Amino acid sequence: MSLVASGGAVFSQQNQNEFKPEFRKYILAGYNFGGTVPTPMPNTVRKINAWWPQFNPSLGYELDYVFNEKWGMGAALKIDYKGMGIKSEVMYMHTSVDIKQGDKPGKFEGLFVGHNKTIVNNGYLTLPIHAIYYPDKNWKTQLGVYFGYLFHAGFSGEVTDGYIRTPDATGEKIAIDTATFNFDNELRKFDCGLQAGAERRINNRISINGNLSWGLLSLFPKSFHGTDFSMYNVFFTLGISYKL
Amino acid sequence: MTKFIKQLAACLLGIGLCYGCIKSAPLSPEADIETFSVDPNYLDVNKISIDQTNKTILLYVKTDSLNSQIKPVITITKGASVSPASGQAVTFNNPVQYTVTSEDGQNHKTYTVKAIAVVGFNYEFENWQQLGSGTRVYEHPVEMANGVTEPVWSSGNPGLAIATDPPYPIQKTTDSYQGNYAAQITTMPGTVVFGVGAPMAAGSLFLGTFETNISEPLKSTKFGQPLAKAKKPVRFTGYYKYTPGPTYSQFSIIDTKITSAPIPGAQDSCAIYVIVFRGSDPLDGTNVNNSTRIIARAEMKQGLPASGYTAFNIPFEYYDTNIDWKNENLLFTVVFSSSKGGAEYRGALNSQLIVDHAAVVCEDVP
Repeated sequence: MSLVASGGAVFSQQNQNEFKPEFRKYILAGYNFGGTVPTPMPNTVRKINAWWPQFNPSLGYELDYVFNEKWGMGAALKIDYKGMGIKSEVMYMHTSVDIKQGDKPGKFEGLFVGHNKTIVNNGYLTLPIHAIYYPDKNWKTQLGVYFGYLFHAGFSGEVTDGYIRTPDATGEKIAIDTATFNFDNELRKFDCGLQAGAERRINNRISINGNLSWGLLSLFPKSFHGTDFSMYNVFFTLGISYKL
Repeated sequence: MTKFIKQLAACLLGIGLCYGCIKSAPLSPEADIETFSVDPNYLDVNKISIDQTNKTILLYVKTDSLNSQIKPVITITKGASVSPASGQAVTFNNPVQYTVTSEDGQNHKTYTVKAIAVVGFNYEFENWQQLGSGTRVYEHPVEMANGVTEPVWSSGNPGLAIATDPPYPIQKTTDSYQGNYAAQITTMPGTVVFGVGAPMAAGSLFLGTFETNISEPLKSTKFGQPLAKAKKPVRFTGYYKYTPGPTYSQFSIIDTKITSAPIPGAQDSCAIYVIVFRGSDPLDGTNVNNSTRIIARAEMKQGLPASGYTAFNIPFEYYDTNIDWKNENLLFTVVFSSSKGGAEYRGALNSQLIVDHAAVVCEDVP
């Protein structure tokens, strides 16, 4: 009896070890925290007075292919809002904007000193692709890249309580009480970068996850000179996944 | 695994710190003369105007003080230096160049300080000066007195030149009444930068200076030049041509863009006037028509079209006769505009006014 029993146990163990590769599907929901970050921080930014996230939902569908107990790969299709608000004080920040006055092309260039408030509210259709490693049955980690398509552009704000020197530091000093800017149409339509994350299983269906995505393409193309530094999307998604 | 999470958290904290890691402040690249003053005993009129756009400072130095050792007191941008230094003795028998070097040592700005006589009363628009930089070059007429160029005329040209390429509203034209040139003034689209500015630029040529104020464009135009002592303006004469543009419209800034709404049945008209006012501070676009400091006005009432050169001869109307012509500080300005409603941004693009051979006829006050 005991032989049979032990033989059965061995059999069942072998059965467990024989992992069949499989697809796993998830619904993802989360919230993006982060910012469009100038790297490196330019010395023209003197002070950050406030920062706040915008309404940044992240919703998506993920399809993983799991090779064995340890490894897999996956891809997702997500809608990611990546936004923030920031209030800063800048000094001699170079700006150059094209201005169309009727049928006459124009350009305004100068150095701004004063307060700046920027609201970023960008919506991306994101395609992350990643390798998956399972350290144990409760954890899932991933590392990969993402590609994003900007379907909703929002980059605007106002400058206040300052002045601008145009066209350069020795040029005319123009006081600015309040002026607005809108660079929606100047934003790059594509974004791509690196992403890494981890997920902890709560039960058979639900996991909580955290994922960092680091943009490698600057928000604006090189031809844009509205700001004199490059900015990148750096966001952390905190969310849950629901296994279908 | 918790270690990994910790690392992630540390990484996020790093991003947060990235906001915090403010670099040390840049040294100032600015190099302005902010104030310039001299002992008023050397001056005919104690009014020193610094034209920052064109880096020119005008002093109304008394003729017998032209060779005096004058020690101007100068204030400049914090951290910058100026040569000759503040307090150093100079003579203004010739224009003096003051060079300011910025705190970062990268920028030099040279101002020309010149002694001028109180401007005369005859305007022929024969001498023109090119101003601005790069492709944004514009013209202003200048007066000449004893071989000295007196840049007393100004316009909205420098305001447009901050963001738009030529042409600009004020230009010289060879279509003159007499001499080689006349002044041609044209209404053009304005300029809007960061959602503020002027939606329409009525060409306007005036005695005074222009200090760009994009938030309140009407405050950019600073009207006024000293009126010579013991001279009472009695008539304003000259010749003009005027062609209104085809579509009289109300211009406005909507959603950071210039828009215009045609006003049916109405036609643009030009403005030609002189005002005399008390004090030594200029008037600007917000009060040039209604300041209580105004004591006299000579104004063309209708500003109707004129296809050929047409004479005007307008008597001054005085609101105040209690004036001490010999001692009081009085200013006056001559204004020519191609759209009378320019201050309200009403006019027609391409309205064109040409003026020549103008004069403010004065009586000597005994």
